[in-house]
Amino acid sequence: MLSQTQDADQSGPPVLEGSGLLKVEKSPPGVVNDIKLAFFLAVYDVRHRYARSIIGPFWITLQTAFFVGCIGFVFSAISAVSTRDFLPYFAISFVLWSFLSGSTNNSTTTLLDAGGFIKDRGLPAYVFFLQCFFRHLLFLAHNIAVPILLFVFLGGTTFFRVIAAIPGLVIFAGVTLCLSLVVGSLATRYRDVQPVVESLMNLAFLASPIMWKPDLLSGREFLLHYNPVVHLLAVWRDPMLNGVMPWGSFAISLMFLAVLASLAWYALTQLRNAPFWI
Amino acid sequence: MASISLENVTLDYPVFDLNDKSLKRRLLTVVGGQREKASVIRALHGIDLEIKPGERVGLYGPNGSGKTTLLRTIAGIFPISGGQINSTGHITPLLGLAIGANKEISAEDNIRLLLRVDGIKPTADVVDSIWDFTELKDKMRRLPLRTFSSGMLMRVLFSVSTAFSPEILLLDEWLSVVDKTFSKKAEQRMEDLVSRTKILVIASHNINMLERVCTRIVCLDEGRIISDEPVVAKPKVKEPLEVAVHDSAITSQGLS
Repeated sequence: MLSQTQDADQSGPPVLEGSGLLKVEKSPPGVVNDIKLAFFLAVYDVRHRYARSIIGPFWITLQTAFFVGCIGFVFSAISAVSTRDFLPYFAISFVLWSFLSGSTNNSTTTLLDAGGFIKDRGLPAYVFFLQCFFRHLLFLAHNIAVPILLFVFLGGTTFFRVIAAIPGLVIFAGVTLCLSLVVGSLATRYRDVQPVVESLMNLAFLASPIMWKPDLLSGREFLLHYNPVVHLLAVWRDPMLNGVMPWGSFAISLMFLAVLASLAWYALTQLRNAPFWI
Repeated sequence: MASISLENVTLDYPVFDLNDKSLKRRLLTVVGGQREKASVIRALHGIDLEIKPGERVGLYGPNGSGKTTLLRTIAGIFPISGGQINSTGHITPLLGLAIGANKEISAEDNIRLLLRVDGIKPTADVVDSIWDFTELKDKMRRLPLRTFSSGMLMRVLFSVSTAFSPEILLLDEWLSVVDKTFSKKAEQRMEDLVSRTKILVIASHNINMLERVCTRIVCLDEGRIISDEPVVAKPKVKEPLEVAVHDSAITSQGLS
């Protein structure tokens, strides 16, 4: 119904008012430009949150290191495994889970914060879900230093095992992006969704093997089989830590991703109504 | 080429009250077999509007007559419920000046951020010339915006927003700065900006401003166009001929 065609003969680059001719690079509007803008906004978020401190965004890393250290010692004692064995396992699981849950939880409020951009400047709504995803990807890039240091000093994986974990990590990131889009759109349209999402994320954190090891549940394995989070963790954690490829978990995770991706596609088509919701 | 064409456009604006915003309630009504439809306000009724390059259209009408809604519809922000919109050229809606400004970050970084939002690469030259236009002290560049007085803040936001002429510009009210020393300069900048855009659509309550700026005024009331007339040069100066020449000069400038 609404068509917008770009001019073939552009009248040259825009000119800065009252300053003679100043060369200006203007990127053509489109998806690529939107993704670049989302990334730029995310970098700004991270940089400015820690603008007035010397170590800057590495406060994020320090926070995570402190949390991982404390919980690692306590929970290795509770589950009676060696701290040396448990710490890297918990560190890598925790930072990746924080990425997924952080991006998803954050997506529930991101459009409300960007209301002006969407309604008064005409920016497409999905840009802000991307911004949210990129922001948490940047947090992850800082947090990942903790498990990397632990792996270097305590061992637990090899270079080739890390490479083998990449396909699983890509699936995990894909799920995070699609989940953020779906949950974010739903929570913007229906305001009572946000607290539900938050409590579900907490539940998933406790009910999945992140703070504890899967073998702790021996005898009640069904608690693992029917939990999609378990499979989403297994697709990269098994190759990374145990050197095995969990093909069953790959199949389930890919199906999960396919469902989420089609829901995300539907959410994207509905997002044209987003200016009415905010 | 830049043009906008609206054919019989209607827009239904869904009004979500607290119940409509609850998924729980929505699910319960579906399970209960009831069908509750969110209330809808028809904000635009069969709007026909053809805007050719070089035109500067003023939207005039009382509060709630659909001026801003029509601007958002032209910009493609609101999905229409009926009719057709065809537009050529890149549309830049500038419906609020303070949109996107982050008071915690420095003035300079805000300038970069707002330029990025417009898709413009914030090179040092561009940022410098925008800052120069504000006539603020150089040491303020790195201070967070929240330390600025509201007048200073307006200078910064105005300077960025008006730095580049888009092909099609949509404005909600004329942009101005109250600041006495600055307002003349700001007025000049706005004139420049408008003269370089191919199409301007501006909504306002101020009929005098619209008659001064626009070539055509569209009156809206309750989401309908009630009149659509070209602005005839008012013989407010002694030589009416000269005014007419002046007006057409601006028009042809817009066309070029």
